[in-house]
Amino acid sequence: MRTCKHRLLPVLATLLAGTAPVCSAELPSAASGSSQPQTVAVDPPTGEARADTAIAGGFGTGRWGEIPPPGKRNTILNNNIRRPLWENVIYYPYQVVAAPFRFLTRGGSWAVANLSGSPFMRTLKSLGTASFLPIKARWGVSAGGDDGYGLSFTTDSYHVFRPEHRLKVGLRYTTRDNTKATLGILFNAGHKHSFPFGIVFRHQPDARYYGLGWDAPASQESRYTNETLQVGGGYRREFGASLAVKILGLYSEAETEASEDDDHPLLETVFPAPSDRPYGYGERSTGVSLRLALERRGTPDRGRPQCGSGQRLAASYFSATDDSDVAFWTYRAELQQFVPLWHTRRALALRGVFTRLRNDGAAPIPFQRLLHNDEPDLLRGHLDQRFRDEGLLVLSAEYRFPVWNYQGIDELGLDAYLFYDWGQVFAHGDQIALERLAASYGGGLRLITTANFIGRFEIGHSDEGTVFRLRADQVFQYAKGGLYDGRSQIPLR
Amino acid sequence: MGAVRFRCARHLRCVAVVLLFASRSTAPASATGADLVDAPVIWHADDRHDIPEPAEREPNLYVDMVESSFFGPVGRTLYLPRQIRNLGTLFGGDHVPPAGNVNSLDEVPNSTWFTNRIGLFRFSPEEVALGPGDGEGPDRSQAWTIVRAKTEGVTPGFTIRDARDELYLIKFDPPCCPSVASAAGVISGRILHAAGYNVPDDAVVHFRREQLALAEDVTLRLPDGHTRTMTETDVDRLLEPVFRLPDGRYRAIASKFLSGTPIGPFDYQHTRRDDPNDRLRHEDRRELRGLRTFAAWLFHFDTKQGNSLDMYVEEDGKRFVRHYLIDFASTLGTGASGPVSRFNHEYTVSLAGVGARLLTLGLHEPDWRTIQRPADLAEVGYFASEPYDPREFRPLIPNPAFANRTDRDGYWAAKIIAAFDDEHIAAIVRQGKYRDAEATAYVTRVLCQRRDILARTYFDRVPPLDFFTHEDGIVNYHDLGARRGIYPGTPRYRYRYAGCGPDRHASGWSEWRETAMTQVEIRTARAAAAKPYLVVECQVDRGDGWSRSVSAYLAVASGRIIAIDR
Repeated sequence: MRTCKHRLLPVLATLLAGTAPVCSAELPSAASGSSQPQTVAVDPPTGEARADTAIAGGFGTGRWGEIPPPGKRNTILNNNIRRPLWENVIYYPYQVVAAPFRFLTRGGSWAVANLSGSPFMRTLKSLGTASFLPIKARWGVSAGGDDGYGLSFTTDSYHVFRPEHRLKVGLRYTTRDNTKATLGILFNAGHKHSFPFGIVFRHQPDARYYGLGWDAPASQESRYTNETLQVGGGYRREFGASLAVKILGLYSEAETEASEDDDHPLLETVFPAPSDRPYGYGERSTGVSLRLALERRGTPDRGRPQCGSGQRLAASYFSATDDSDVAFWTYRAELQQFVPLWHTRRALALRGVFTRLRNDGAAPIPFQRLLHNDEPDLLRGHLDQRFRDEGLLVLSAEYRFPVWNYQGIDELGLDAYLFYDWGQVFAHGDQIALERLAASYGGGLRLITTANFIGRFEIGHSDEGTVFRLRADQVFQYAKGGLYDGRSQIPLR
Repeated sequence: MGAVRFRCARHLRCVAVVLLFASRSTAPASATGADLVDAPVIWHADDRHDIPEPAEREPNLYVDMVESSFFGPVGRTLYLPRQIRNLGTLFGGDHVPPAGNVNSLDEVPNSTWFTNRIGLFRFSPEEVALGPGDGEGPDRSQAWTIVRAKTEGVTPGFTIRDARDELYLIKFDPPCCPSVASAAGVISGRILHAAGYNVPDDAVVHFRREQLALAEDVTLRLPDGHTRTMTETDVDRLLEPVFRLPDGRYRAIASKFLSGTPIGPFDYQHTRRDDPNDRLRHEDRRELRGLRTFAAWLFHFDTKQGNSLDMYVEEDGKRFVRHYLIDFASTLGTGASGPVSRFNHEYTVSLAGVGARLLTLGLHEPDWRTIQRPADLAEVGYFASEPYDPREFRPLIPNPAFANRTDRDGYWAAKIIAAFDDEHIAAIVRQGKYRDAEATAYVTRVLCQRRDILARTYFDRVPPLDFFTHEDGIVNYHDLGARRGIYPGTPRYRYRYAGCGPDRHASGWSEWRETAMTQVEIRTARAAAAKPYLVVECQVDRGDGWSRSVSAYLAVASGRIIAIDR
């Protein structure tokens, strides 16, 4: 207790000299917390309170002097503060105006509070989390691009025959009747070996066709129905932490026919002469292919890669099993580089993709097996399937920065990004030219964790218009997954 | 031209009227503004009436988060009187009405919510360090019997019964960070108890596996939702991820079960409708408004209503509700699952933060992104005194009571915080039982430094001239800012006095008199007083001019200080 010990001293000094003495005390300094002599005016003594009485009920001799125990005269029942008149004049009209909103929010709160504990929600939750079966389920939504608004449902089973094997079943349906059903099985044979198998069925009643080549005009937009079935299996062998070799054998069917879409011009309408129609239109192309891929992953597949790079080289050979004598090679090279910027979690993501088909058969390559900017991670400011040909070159740059985190920076969060894509399709290498590169730019938000990717909303713009997308698939993800994950293998990437 | 001038003049008049209205309607002036009465000061709230048991509240966590994060702030923004009051802050007013449970001395009377302790009374460091109980945790003379097990969440936990038949909740630190949460929980709990809040009796305990025995009928909830009887093997399995000391002991925080019947958390905004003793909106309770200041000191970010608990208790033959704060593991820079740098710096949903980062394309870098934990102190979270600005503290979700905090509410809490001496803080931090003495010293030092920074922050806004007492014609008061060297240099004081009536209207002011002491001699004035009350107005100058006034009202007849104005 740093108080003057002589209570009468200040009083006497005031009476005799008209000035007040200064009490001295040793006070610890603010900065260090250690004791350091100073001379300042400090508290005069106001009572030698002891904790024994104060602990119990908050009364005794304290800094305000004597605080008596509860009694009739020092006790009060608190009530709400009365609003002043001026506030009442505003308060009641405000309550009337706010009533619908209050009703809405309280209704919503009531619904959430009651539904969250209801059997229905418990059942729904049990589907989404591991409960009585080793199954995890995910719901997904999508919008924009070719498909309209879509809803997907995917289950992952973590115990198929043995604990290390996986089974994945997925179903996706959109308002434009796009349907995709997938089944994948992954047999893990130790840490380094795995055998993925999968079936993918995809039905697109309004696939786009503009003509072939980088200069196909946007005015030639037409629609057709595309249906594919892919069944295959492979082997994946990892070498070290980042290198992997994949071999995939695939049987595939790709069939096209007139579109069921009445709202857009049909392919037959835009290209009335049979000679103008692409080869393979109205036919079913079947065949088998074998692919060999080499991957090096210097960065995580998912989440927020900050640095490092990834490379991928792949070659595949397709041979028709129908009577069309179609055969072709596909070569693909992809490079991704992540450049950390300043401070935390800001990165520049760069990507280059080069894919080329080389015809090895007597017949042309059916147009439904040609390369195009499908799967909306290529030329994001253009509509899906806007460009189609035997070769595809895409360069992308993306600046990423975090804008929100639920908890820590490495947890669930929202990243924003700005992108710029250049790209071109070509029939021959000498067609590649700077002035022919289609450019698009835009930005988006990505809900993400370092462990997983959840979804993205983006707006892309090009000289042909603006495209928005709400998707549950990652852009720039090095390994987007294969047949087991339900990724379409037509065209082979 | 004349018409334009006329319209401008009319608009200016409207603005002037609104500003005047705002300034008049929000002037803070006094604690209660009530007429003066020569009567004992109110020091106790009459909220222990016998009541029937209220229903248990079970607020939904998600609803609470959404309401607190979105609807609450939007509602407050759209409430016109609040905006008028906000305008009034330009004239020194408050953005909300003053707290409803302060007495005429601007203090909080004792109640079922709060008991004045270190803020008003002298406590020894040893007494403060004890906390609400004996500070020792469960009795170790016999094995602790596990009567319930917690298998969900980041860390496991047990409910045990000790030899004294007391129930304790045993919780462990997250596997990543031994000691961090358990030490923080005990330290913060004891600080808040010493400040005056009701808290459970928490203690850090060390024990061996042999200390745990299993009751016969304990059920274990399995991950697949089924339940079965718990076995000793299950206990071993639950303890597997728990950190062990080199000597094989486990470290945990033991939280004693509160007496009475739990009836759920309290709401930080509204009263409990079925509690007749609960008659003041919680957002208007000073101890809840001021809790933000304590939270800013301790980095207690998880101040959601789920971390409070009402207990229906029986005392002296009366049954009523006592209100507790619980679970302080998420303090001192750590969280339930370990230290997280963002906590305490940004709301979970911070539209301002997200907007700033979006608009600046990520160039805006919040400070919390770059802060580091203290080097070589694994037991300490993101807790430092540099940089530290208590006004920048943000809990996890906006708290309606915190949103109503005025400068005087903040000052009230700050002066309690300033009452903790270095020795008090050191004694409390020792109860955290850090394994590393450096961690103990560091946390003690940082708490002291943050206390001083925080005190100065609020003392700058409200002059810390307080605790006026009168004896034999001398009014003494404390300059809280002079303690611990919060302000450098030697302050000067001045005062004047005048007689006043019950309406606090003073006339016949004396001349200002300067002094180096916190004393006012009023013997002559009191003898000559023609009015029933004497007002003593005091100011302090610390080198940057005279502060705002603090006025103490003295009843001439009884000689007691009956009110304070700041």
